[in-house]
Amino acid sequence: MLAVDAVDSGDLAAVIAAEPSETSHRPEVLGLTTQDSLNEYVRRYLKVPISPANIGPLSRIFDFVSNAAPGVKEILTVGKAGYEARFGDWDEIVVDAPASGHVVELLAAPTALHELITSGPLVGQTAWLQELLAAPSTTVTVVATPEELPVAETTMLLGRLIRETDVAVDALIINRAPTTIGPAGIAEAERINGRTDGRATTALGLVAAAAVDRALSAAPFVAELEALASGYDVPVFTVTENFDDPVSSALSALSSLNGHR
Amino acid sequence: MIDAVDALLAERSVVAVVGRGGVGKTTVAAALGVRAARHHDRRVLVVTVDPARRLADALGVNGLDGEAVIVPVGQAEGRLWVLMVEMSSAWDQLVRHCAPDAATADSLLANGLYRSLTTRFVASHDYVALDHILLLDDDRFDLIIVDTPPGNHAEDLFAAPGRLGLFFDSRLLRWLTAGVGGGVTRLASRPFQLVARRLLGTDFLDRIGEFFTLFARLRPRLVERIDAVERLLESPASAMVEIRAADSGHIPEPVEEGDDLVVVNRLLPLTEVVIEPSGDGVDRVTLDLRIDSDDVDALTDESLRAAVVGLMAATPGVEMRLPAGTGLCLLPRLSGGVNRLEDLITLTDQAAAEPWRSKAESSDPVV
Repeated sequence: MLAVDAVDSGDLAAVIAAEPSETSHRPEVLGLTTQDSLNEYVRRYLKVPISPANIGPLSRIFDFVSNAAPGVKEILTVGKAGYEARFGDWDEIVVDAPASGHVVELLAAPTALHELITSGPLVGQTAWLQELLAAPSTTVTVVATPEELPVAETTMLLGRLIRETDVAVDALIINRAPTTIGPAGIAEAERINGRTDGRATTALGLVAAAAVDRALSAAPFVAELEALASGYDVPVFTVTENFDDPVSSALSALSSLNGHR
Repeated sequence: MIDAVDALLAERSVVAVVGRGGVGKTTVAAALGVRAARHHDRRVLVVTVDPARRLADALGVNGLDGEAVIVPVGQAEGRLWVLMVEMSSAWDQLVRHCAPDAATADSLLANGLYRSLTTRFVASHDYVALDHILLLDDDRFDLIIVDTPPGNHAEDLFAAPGRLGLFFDSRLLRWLTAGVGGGVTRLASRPFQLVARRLLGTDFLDRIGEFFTLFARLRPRLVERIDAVERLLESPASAMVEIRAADSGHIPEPVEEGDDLVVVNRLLPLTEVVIEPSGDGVDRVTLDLRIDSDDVDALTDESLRAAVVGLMAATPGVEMRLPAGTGLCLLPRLSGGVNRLEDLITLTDQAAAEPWRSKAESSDPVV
């Protein structure tokens, strides 16, 4: 398996390295930098007769092109992941995508570029990237926390993914959902505090009140995400908040997702 | 600890609020604005990119993109305005402001590539938010608080104007527009044009060239603005405030040198707070909330017990290393969240009461 860190944050590599695992089962991690992807592309496809480092004036603008030229970052990211999927020796590729506001641009980049360009090698390359993204074997898993802004962003993201891209959404994961507290638990928290206005005076009462508050605050957003997913016929998986060992908690929920797949 | 906040709010002209998504940046930016108006008689403009619905409703700015809306903050001499930035129209305004004439602005705004290119610039969002600090020239305001797009670090934010400015001075722009340029530029750009035409095709490269030829005409006024934003950000009149949520797990991450103040948001009152100099110009800040495990075990409801254990795990002796000269402010978690203007007032008022415990005398508040 190949795990691709699309923003090269190092977070993905750190999490995978920290997890005990059979060496043969540990995924390889690829941190994508736009600069490296551009260099590789130029080497591989343009067949410029000298290495990018020695191209002279051209090499000096590489950094700028890769970081600031519009759309270059998106097409290189999806292009590199697509290249690995088509030509690499992997059973599965998982991409840790950028923040939700950039995902649609990323997935729509091959189509956008394909519509703009009428000649050159990118025409064929963007065509097979489009086919790859539209294939049933390529899916998007959306992850959201049950809070106001992430729920609003997820609502927008799911709609845009379905309207503006050909990639199927295979699941919505509600991450870091606070532990649900039933009526008996709420009553006990109020009893500890000796009052019902939520103002606690002891450490235990305070934490209990905060736990109840978090659970009650998250509940409508969990419901909203579930309804959203149901409207698009997308299955939902919930990862309960676990400050001690968030990865184990996520893995447990993901085993259900893999069963679904 | 509220002193560190008050010093900034009383003295600075620009406060940029940075931090990861979901830590409460917009809420804290609004709370700082309310406090500056109420306690320091400042005429404050809070610039926000994308506030949550409830907060936007509370401030009365929902649906009023691009306009500075006055928010009543009581009997104070100060005033508070909130401006919600809508990225696309903000770029349109910037184009109109920087274009040498109306015809250039109209041509650029009507250009087919304009919308996707301007909104996809790396750092363009950062820059558009920051550009609003130039509203200090507006006599209405003497303090501007900018709630930046999520994920920003101080270093990235300071670099945003420079990155955009770099584009106008870049060889890339000259080469992209070389098709309509002079002989020397055209000659120098030949290797680039050769590769770019091979990759992108002649038609597309020509369309890009036409767009950037128009865009380059913004250069004199836009570069002037970028320079002014940079000068203001780097001046002692500006401050960078980083927000971290107590329940996010990100408290121990290194604090950047550029941060003037770190705000730990949503901290539970009664949390034990210890600040110790570590001898290398850095203070060690420990946040700890401990409860007797027998008390937790005595909880009869299983779901409540699991939730309490989970929440306690968020702050078991969390440590942050705070560089000397960087202030610290702790803001409490408010029951029910921050949904009304009154909650914004309560937030910093409660912080001023410092409901935390020191390690030595856990019944007394931290000084």
